[in-house]
Amino acid sequence: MAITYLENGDVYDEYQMVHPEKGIFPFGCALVMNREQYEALTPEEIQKIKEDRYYSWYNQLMAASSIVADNSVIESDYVVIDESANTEVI
Amino acid sequence: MTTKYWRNAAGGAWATAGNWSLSSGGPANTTVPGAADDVIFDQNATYTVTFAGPLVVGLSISFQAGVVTFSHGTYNLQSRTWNISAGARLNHTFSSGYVLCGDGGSNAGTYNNNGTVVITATTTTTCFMQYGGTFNNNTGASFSITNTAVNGTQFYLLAAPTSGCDFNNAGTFTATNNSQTGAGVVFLSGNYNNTGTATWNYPAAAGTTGIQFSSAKNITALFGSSTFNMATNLNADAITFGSSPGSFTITLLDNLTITRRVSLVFNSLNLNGKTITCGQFTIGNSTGSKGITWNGGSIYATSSGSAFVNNTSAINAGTLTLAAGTGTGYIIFTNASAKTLSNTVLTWTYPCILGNSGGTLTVNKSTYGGLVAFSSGATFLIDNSNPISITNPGIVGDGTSIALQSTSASLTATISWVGSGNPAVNPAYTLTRIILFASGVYYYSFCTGFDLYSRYSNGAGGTTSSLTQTNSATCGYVPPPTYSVAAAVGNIDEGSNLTINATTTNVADGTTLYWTINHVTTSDADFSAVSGSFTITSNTGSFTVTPTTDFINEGPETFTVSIRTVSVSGTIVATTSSVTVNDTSTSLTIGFFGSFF
Repeated sequence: MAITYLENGDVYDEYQMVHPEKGIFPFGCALVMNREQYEALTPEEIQKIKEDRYYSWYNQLMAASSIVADNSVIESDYVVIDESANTEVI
Repeated sequence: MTTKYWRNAAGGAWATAGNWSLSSGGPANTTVPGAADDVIFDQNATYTVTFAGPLVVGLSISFQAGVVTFSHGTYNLQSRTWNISAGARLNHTFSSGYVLCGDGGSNAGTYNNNGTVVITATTTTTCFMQYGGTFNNNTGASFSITNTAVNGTQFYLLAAPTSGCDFNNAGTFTATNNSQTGAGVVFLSGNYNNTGTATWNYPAAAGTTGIQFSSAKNITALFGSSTFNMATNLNADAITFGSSPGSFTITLLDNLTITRRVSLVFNSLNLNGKTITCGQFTIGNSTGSKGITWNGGSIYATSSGSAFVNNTSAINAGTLTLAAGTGTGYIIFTNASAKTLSNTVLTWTYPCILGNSGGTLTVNKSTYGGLVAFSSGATFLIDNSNPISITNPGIVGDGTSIALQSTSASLTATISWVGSGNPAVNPAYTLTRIILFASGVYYYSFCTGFDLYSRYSNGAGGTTSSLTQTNSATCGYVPPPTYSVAAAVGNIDEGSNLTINATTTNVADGTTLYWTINHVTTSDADFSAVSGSFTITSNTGSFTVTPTTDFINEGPETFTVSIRTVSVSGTIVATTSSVTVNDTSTSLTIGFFGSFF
């Protein structure tokens, strides 16, 4: 994965991980932070942050996997912005 | 252009000329600010400004000190630039109306918050920053927005239907929506770049849709450290991508993790290698273009039941595009209980790997570019009223099984591997079963290792007797056996029995193995038998080798023992270390009993 820079100058360090023991559960992520902050970190610290994010997500994944979805198939409710309602000329 | 200062620390009406001055703390002016003026609030006090009608409040409006409450009533504000300095606070209280950033035309505006901005809405339809530009909630700044209307229908936050409004949050952002009856926050029509802390609170248990991305242009979404506090209610979306019709693309720059439902209604979602983790994922049925491009990204559906639902109907078939993009994408089900991937009307091809980490996954009306079962005990049941075709599945997982079922005898269910590399992930897992069954016509497959190659129809080849009772065929993967053999001791006296112990893995009980002596310095004459056989039970077996007693002083001799499959001349699968035969021979001494005369 590559390190790039966002328009505001922030570092965008993209990476992908799988569970190191299970070899599964792929996870794509990116560290986004101020460039000075990023460059002050050691490679080991950066790797630790990446792994922490992975495990944080993985733990949430495992915790969330007990929810029962409603079996009814429901169209998503959504909003079409009624532009005309708010186009009062001032 | 002039700069006008608010001079009434007790608060008052915007339209009162006496509340304004041409200098900070200066005398009253005779006119209120106009569209070409800059406006500054620098009174270090707490007060409220009221409005009597729609206003163009200036080229820029700045809050440099104090706590100012803008009571919008039913009116609207417009200014190209809003600036809130560190230490200053601006409260927007809405009963209706909206704040415009920019001039409502070709000039987009900018809202720069370095202090505190608090928005409270008490009405059914409220809009903040409808006409776009950029909202910067900078480092150290605080921005909160609350919809207190329990019966509210819509609440637009950063919606800009025509131009898009970008939101850059490097500070602290909190959105709370108490509506229980209608759509929630139509959040974003532009880029969402969260490098700060964002918290979304949706306490209502029913009917509330959370964040809606109503794209007005191609946008990116960087969720960063976003927290979603929501009731566990999968009847309403926590997040809707593409809540307004359009042909725009929403590209994820970061992952999204949420326990509730995520939907795609309009526009295209580019996963961009990132991960969406949600309770339920749905693809809406509304008329209008929509699509998902994986580009190596993943969708994790964590709930049981209808974990992934594709509602797209026949009439909207042409509007949905599912594309792999670059890289390998995934849809992965994680719940240990039964769940479904439901295609409610049509058969769809998902250009990604389908993963199931446990429990039974039932899939209908689908074809796949790849199929993978992750964890022990995971099961796929693909129930299809149309022909099923799965190519290049990577099957991983101890105890994994795939069942393909066709509901008509005239339909076929096929599965095929290409090459010898499957499964690519981890071939160490054992006992993968593939079950193919169809009513009346049985198709089953067999494995050579993991390389599933052929199928036979009933009566056209292969053994079908096992199908009679189950209408299914099981392809059992037998992992390769391993063998080891060792002598009980490293040396043995002539005439004694030497026990040789064999240990195996994945060798069936009752299997006969064979042993042979390998002479190092011994010869056939040194043993009562130089070959034989023994039986494996519970992956162990033993036999004895007996060096014969002789009367020759040969000194110590050595040999090894090999075990073989099939026969005594079969393949050697293991050999002992060297064993020494101790020379315990009694020397033959010829006595002289006579005399010489």
